Amino acid sequence: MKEQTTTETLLESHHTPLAQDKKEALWKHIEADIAALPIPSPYTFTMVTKKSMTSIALALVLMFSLGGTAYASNDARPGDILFPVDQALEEIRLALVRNDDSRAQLQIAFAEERLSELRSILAERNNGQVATSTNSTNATSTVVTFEAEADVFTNTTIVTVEINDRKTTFETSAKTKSAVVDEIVRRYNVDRNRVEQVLDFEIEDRASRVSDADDSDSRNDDDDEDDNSNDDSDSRNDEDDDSSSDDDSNDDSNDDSNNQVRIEVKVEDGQAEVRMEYNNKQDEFTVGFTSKSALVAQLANRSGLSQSVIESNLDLEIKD
Amino acid sequence: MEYIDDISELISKSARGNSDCFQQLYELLIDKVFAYVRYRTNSEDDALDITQDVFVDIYKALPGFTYSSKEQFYGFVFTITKRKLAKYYADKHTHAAKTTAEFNEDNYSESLLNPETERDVARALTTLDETAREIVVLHHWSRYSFPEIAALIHMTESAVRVRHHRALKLLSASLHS
Repeated sequence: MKEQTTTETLLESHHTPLAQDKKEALWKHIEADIAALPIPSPYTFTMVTKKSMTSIALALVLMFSLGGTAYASNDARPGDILFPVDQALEEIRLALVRNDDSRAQLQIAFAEERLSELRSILAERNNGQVATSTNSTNATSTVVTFEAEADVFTNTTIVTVEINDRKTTFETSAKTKSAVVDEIVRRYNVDRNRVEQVLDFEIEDRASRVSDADDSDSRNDDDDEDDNSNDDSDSRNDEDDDSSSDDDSNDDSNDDSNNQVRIEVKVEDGQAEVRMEYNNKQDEFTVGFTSKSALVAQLANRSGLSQSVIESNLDLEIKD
Repeated sequence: MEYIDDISELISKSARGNSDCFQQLYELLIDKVFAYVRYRTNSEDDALDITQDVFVDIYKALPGFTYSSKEQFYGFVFTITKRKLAKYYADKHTHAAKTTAEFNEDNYSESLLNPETERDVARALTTLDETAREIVVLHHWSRYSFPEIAALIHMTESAVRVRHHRALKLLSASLHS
């Protein structure tokens, strides 16, 4: 045992440890060396390990070199140049997902994206057909739903047409219903009868117009009477004062001066207060009121107008 | 300079570029590293050069190092040291000639012992196999504990203890014969 201890002592004294001054000199060299090194980033220590390096590098390469393309490709639709890039990116994203649930969600999201792309292509195609259908006779067959509305103002007419859920609006100088129908048929190449049936024709030459849905108007229609049933619009009736109705009649005289009939009747306690305007004449009087038909007959007698004209222009207001 | 006792804190601060902390790590490691490097090299100057390179390499490698135990950290340092030594031999083309040749009296002229005992010790060491010699050097010169040596050279602690015991027996026999 003693021998072994002497051996150990001998062994240990065989090695001379580095003297303190040499240690310090060595540290000075090391310090100088490490000062010349770039300062390590505080973030790299905790976040970047050798294992994560590959994926980080890959992500960076993807982000920076393909970032723009990838971003642009997300809007690509089938047939676009970038569409394969869009698809490849989706494949990569799917491949990177480890969780089955999130993979399913991604697949659903991609399927929805594909669908919406297809929808937008279809919509664009239909749109293009409508736009290019002006000269095509077959185009009428593609019209599934059709709505049309025309608003006639003093200076212009605004026509809104909705074909297959696509709304378009144009401006025209046409003032009458048939002129507007002609215009629609010319522009969209749809069936004329259909346009006539569907067209909601309104004359909106008064800003403060009160809607009178129970009355119909035939004076602005060049078409015959049976149009009235479809056409519930009217601009002739209002409860404004005289000056504005004068205004009105002036406007109308530009259109068709022969047919200016305006009859307003207010019924209160069995008495009908009548104000009539016809053939540029004004007539105000009060008569006893029993029924609408009796009143119409009475007015026809007094004015010399036909009962049908009176009936169609009658604004009857009964107060309880 | 604030003195920090916790190795893991010293490591993380050094990794973020704190040279004061790295100096404390240096103080902690220099004797261990130098003793081993000196044993594997022919001259003190070479040993100093290599030790300097070893510490610069440790400093560079610290950001990628995750501390779990003292033994593991010594293992990390030891790996870097061995790599540097391997490079040194490759550069000097002295790799094959190594091990026995270095234990001549000239190398240890600055030793405290008289030249005769010095020669005896050197000769006694050459009688050991390389692993046993390494264990002796790491334990008596670098002052590593047996569990630490076990971690450094990838052996179990008991195996290291047995090898060391046998080596000492052999050494005493050759020294006292």
